[in-house]
Amino acid sequence: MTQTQYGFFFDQSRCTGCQTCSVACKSYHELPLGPLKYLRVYQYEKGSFPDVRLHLQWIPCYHCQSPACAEACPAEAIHKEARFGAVLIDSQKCNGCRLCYDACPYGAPVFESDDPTCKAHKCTLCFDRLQQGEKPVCVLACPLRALDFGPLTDLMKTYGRLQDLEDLPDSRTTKPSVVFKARREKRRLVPYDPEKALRLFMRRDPLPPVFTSLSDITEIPDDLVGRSRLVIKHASAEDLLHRTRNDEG
Amino acid sequence: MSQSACGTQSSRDVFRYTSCGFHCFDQCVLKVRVRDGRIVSVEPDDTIHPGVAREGEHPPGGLGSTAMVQYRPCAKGYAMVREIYDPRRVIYPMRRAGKRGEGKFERISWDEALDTIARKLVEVKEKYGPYSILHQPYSFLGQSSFPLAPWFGAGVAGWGAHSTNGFQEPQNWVYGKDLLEGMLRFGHFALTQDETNIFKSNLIVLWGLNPVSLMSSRVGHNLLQARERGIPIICIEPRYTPSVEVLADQWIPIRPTTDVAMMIAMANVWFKEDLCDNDFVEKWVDPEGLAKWKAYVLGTADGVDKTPGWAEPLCGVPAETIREFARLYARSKPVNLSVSLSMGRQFYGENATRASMYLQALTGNTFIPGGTAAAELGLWWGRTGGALPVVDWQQADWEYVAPVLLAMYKWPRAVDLREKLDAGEISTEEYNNLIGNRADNPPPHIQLVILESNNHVNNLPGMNQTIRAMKKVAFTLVFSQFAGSPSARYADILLPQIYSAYEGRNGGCGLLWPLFTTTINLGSHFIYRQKCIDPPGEVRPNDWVWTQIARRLGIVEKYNPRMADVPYEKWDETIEEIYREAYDTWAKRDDIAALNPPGWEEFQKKPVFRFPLEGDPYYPFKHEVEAGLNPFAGTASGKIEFYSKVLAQGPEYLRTHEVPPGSGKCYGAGNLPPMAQMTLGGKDTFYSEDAAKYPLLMSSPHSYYRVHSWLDNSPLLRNDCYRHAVWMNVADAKARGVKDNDLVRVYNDIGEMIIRAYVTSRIVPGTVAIHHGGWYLPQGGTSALMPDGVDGRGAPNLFTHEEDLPNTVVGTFPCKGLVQIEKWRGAR
Repeated sequence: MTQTQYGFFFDQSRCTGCQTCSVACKSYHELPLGPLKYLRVYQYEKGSFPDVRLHLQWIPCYHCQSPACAEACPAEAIHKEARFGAVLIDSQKCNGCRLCYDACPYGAPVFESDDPTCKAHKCTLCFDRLQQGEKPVCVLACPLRALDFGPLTDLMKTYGRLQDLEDLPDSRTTKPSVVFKARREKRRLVPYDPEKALRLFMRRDPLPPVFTSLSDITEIPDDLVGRSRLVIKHASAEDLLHRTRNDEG
Repeated sequence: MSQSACGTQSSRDVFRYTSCGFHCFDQCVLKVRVRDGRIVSVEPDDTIHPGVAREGEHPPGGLGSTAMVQYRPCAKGYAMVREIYDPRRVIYPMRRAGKRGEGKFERISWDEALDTIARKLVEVKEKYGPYSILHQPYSFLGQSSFPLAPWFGAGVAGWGAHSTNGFQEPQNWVYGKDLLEGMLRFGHFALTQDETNIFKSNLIVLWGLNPVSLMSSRVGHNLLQARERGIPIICIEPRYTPSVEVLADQWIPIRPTTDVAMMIAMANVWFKEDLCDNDFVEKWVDPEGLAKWKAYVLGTADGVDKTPGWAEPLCGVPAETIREFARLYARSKPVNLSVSLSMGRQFYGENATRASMYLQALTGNTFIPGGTAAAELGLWWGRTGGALPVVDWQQADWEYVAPVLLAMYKWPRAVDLREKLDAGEISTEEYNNLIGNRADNPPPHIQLVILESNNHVNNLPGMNQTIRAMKKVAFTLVFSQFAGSPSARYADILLPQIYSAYEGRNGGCGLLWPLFTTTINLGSHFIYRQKCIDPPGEVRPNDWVWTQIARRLGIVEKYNPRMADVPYEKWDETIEEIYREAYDTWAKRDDIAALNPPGWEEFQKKPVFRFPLEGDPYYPFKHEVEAGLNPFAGTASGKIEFYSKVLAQGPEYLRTHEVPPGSGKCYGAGNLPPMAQMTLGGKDTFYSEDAAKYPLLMSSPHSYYRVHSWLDNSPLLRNDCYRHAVWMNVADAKARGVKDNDLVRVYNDIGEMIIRAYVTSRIVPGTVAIHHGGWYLPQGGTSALMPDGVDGRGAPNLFTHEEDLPNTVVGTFPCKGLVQIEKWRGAR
């Protein structure tokens, strides 16, 4: 029985997908390069030019109140400790079966490679830091202060009770210890006619046109735009890395 | 790794504090964990508000001083430590073992390296004269950065800066002063603002600026707070960037290189609807110049009424949007307009940058709380919090001042064209014109190039020209951490480069990166960079290197008298003593003592000093306003000038005169319009006739994951965080049968590369983007365009033309290029 469930607050409206949190986490925990990312940041887009939005998701382990990973583990290697509610993997007991990964809706258990003997690891809620009275590294690293941390009930008092974001798995399944603020609505400060704009962008008189019909822009076949949807469960290390990289560099 | 043990801390750990120190203006706090002499990790800033996740959120009365917040590093700050231990790192002096460009080196001793360098300096000076030695970075703004120039008696200075000419020169024409020289001459950035000035604005316009991807921790965070407070923000730019997503209420997509058309059309609306701030204009804008520009805008001069309807087919922004935006702008005073450097980094770029200054003047926004002078780089360095500790190195008086003999970034052209001058194919005057040297000046004869911890080969426009230059000179010296860096590959002597953030003591004797570091001139704080570890191998600090060379040249007592006889084993501790002395002296100043600074020992526990910036935030020209001085005393009319009479004197005048006199700045012959106008068809612009062959206009924005090109080879950032790819609009990709992640060949008449494609709706069609700073890495075969090898990584400067005519040398530090793209079917 957890004394006090600690959790995260993630402000999606401030997240730029810069990955500082993820790199700071790897730095602190001395993790190797590659798919062993305790914290994954996903960036994808929806819409078509010029009505496009960037979507960002921030996914560590949410240290769920009903952790599916713990239930699925045949080696009893995963337990939820009592003081902070952190869900921890004992890698000495782990047999590498990856059933925890299959069970977790968020893909929190991570592995150093596709090698089937790899042990499972994941975000520890910076448990060692909590014991010293310090917050998790990611929370203090975010340059835009998109993160907060504390007892979940306190966070809910401050930030509200939203536990679901568009495209994320339903929070009722595992009860993640997180509250969110969703990305904001945009407002038009001045009128803008996207179709008119597209017709303007089509031409480059006296040079040849840039494109020939609006559907060149608005019709997007499935595999044309790579980052068009959220995929947080991965069939391979390469897929995890591809999806958790952005194109800002 | 057993998680049940769950500890990554150790009782053996010690902590040090430092700051990144590369060419980044933010200077964040790096808390470094060191274990057994090795850096284990970088951790968040705990020197203020330790453990607070979201500090100062919307306090009543506005966000307070920007000094009193955590200085949170970005991903680069956390990732950089791993580079220290990269096995590819250069840790001994090296000598070229093949041809320049092959990147083959062999290890030599320090003695041999230093003897060679000293000998070459003497030889080149004797054979080619004093204007033969070029050092970078920072032989700019009218000075030479060659540390030994003043006593060795050789060196060449450049005017302008590698990134800001398209802004700086217009600032001089319009306001009579400019941003960077303002720093040097007046000690503050007169034209810029405190970050908190934006909280007094009614509308924030980010034109071509992506602040969260450049300096997220302070500028980005402040803008977020402004947005959350309900201050409207509009982003006008060719890409839907992360800044657009988190900051902007609205994105107005626009074609790159057409911004001035929209600005002109906005003014057209204001003139016709009488929306200008007439009181301000009457008081502060030169009426003669205004009348000329107004006639241009309204078409009374050339018969073309430059309405929103005129602008819309050029820039892609619908006329109704331009009109309503103009009206919103006019009624929203104070308007905080920030225009990015990129707008000046293109052919005719100085038109857009000065038009942005006109917009603020016409609406009375130039120097009011909440307003801006528009063209202050979009980086906000308001005022100096206080004096910084300064070391007195006691260098001898200068015996030689390097003359200004070219525009700084023209040095590769100066080298490349020199043989034509020597062969009599062009005259001295023509040669000087092409490099920004006054016609009757002696021409430079650059034969020895020193690239000290910078990557000019990669980062200047027209890379193949820079490569030719590096092959032509008599001797090249490069300091670099990596032999694979494009600049390092052309070195004759390659010296290891210390990480001054971590490894010791670049004291900054007469040069760069002193140990008290701060955001350049913001002066809201400074950080003393503590030494964290010993460098590997035989890596030595840069000032140690120059001191040993100076000794061989017989000038060490003049260059570095305080450390002339200090052996390397005592180097770090001596520098520490010198810095302590500077700190103690600083702490005794009346203005500083009043702030109760800690003693040195106490300061070393958390060596960050923050100035309490009191009072109202700085806005441009605030100090002049409050002192009752005329901010525009530097212009001929004493007012804001829309029309430059100096430029109006034409090409013959410009090639034979400095602007202003005595500055060394010579724009060269060419057509430089005296006032902002829209000109179609400049090189590497959207309407260039070259677009018939190379139809895609490429921009090269900065990347969050590099400072210029630094960290391009960081395995952590490259592998984990981002994919370096060419951004292509859906329509352009479809037309070429290209899908996301396909390999594509990007090429024009001067370069080619193979790179992956990022297919997206986030970019204006007909334009592409390749982030600046990707290294040129030859992979695979050579070609006619790429004799040193086709680029397999993606360096956009392969495509940018370093050319000027028919324009002058002013605005063209181009970061744009026209390219064609095709799907790549070959092997990589």
